[in-house]
Amino acid sequence: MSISKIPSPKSQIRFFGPRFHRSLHSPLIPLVLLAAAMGILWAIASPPWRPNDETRHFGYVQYLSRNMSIPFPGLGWIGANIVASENRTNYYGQVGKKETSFPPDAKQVMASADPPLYYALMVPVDRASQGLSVEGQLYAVRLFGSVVIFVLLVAAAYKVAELVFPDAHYFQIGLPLLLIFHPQLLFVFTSVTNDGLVALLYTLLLYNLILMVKRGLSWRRVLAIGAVTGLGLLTKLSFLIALPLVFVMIAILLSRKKERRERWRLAPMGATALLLPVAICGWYFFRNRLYGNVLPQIPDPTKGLNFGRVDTSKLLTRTGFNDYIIDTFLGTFSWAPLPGAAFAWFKTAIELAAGGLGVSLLAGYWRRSWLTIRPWLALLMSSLVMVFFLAAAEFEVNVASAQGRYLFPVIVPFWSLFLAGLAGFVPPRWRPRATAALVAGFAVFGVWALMVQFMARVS
Amino acid sequence: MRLSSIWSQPAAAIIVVIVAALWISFSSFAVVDDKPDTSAQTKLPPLRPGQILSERFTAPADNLSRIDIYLDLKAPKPNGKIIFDLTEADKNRMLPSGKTAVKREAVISAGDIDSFDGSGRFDFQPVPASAGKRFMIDVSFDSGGGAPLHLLGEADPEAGRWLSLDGHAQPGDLAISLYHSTGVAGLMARVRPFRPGGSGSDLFLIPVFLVGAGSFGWLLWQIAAPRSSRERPRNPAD
Repeated sequence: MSISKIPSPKSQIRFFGPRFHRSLHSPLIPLVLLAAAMGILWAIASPPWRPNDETRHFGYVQYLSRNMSIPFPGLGWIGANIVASENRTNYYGQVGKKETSFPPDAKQVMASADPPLYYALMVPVDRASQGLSVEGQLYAVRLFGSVVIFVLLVAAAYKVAELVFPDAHYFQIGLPLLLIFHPQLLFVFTSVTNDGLVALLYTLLLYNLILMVKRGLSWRRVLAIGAVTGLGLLTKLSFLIALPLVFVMIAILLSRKKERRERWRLAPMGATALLLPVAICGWYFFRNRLYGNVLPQIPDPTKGLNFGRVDTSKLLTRTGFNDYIIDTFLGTFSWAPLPGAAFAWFKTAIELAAGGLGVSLLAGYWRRSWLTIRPWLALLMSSLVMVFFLAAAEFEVNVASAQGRYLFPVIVPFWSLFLAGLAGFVPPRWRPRATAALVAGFAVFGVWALMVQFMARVS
Repeated sequence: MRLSSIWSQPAAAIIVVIVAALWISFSSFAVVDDKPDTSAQTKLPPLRPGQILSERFTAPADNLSRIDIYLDLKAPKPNGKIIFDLTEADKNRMLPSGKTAVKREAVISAGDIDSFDGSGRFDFQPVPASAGKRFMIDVSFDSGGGAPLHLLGEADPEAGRWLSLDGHAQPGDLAISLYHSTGVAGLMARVRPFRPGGSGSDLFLIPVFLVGAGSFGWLLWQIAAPRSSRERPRNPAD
């Protein structure tokens, strides 16, 4: 037998290892490609300065890039070149005005009330695009900053879905797809804003917390939780809502340890998870404290503008606040909302999903295969969504006008519950195809919202 | 792995790419040309059943295909039908002469009004060669005895526009958005200004769209295809 006729094992023919070949079949690659494609389309389709407060956020990036120092909360004006661009691109065209005419020395406050992490991360992109016009720099930061963060969020959502739905590959792929085709999420997250990074960090926190419950406390997990929480607090103050969650989950884990010695052994880990964020972001708040303002949230004189001056319970029960939050969550694109029928369908779908979740949990009590999501995960995720919803209501009553995007940090819990809820009515055998049908319908909706409702109507 | 399963995912991706390409090639989009200035809004007199509110305007583009009106969301919610008539106006007179070259009609329910911005949308067959022509829209309301219709107007009248209620001139204008129908090239042309390099061009955006479509087809097959227990990946968190 000649040497050439000796059969070679498959592994010798392959240029790369089996791990590489397995990764080619992973849904993560097409998910990343699709997220990048939709992110690029939304980032390019959105006119300059149109998304929420984009001039203020980009002004912060430009300030950091030029001065290399963090502004104090509430101080600092956006650059004159941004004001000139607002005039050139007709910023007020969004409310129908034929032209915009800010005086060249107009003072517009940048988003200096926010912590600096997102803006600092965008500085290299801004510096690399210095040769472009200010609009060109804006699009560079959108494409190479915000879109990249959005793609990472989709990848993180996939990893969370693997934990939440370990036996359901269709949900693992379906959940990130719902994020990719969510119109308002794309409109906001592909613009220059720190909202996307907050959602990414919150999703990573959730991932680590769920992993902590499943595998138990470990130093690696604790450091990850502390680091993500600290970075989140350095991104946006709304991340403060995460602190009680971390505290409660660690407290529950410790309380479930029967032996007192075991609790004492793990207590330093719990303390580290809570103290590490202080070490990471404490300097920023200490610096602001020296300046005289720890939580730099200045009440807006327009508070109570939308629903009158009411307390929180009346706001939730007697006004249109709930509908408003759901509308601005799905797609209103700064004064160019989706048709009313889209909002009505979405509200019906949310109600159906809530019912389906109940059906799945009840049926799963007797027959485990009917369960779409574990009860403790359903409780955790619905609590998170409710906490953010109530925080938005408190914000509306006490600070300024709230919007649906305030729920975006818990976007992964929201769509997880939505998916698990709608599939809860369907027998387990049919769920892959039912999920495919649901996702296909939502994809058509997402593309229609981009092209027919956004690109055609927002000029 | 069977041959059919090797090719099924690429096939699904190619099919979705073809469907997406056909959709954008043959679709028409209602593109906005003129929007009301919401910072100068004014309330118009309530429109009661039997009354006709008319607005004359000049179409800014060919293929006029959609007009939006706006309701005052703070007024009592109306019930009933909103009836819309579009006619081509005579060149020299303020009202149509009766001999109209173009006529379009549409009816919507007051329940179809967008709860967010109060817009009511009238779609009709595109009017070819409409650019520069004058049109009159007549809005009437059949409430069946309920609350009247409270429409929004613009305080500052635009040149060439004219508003009347039952033939009597009114101050200001009716707040309307005007749309024309166009293909994908006309849609893409709107995203060109201010975008750096060629990032706003069809040559960049359409391939990006098709890459997204292919990835989606690939994923859709992965969701829907049944998996054997051997193929199911082991999850570290199980």
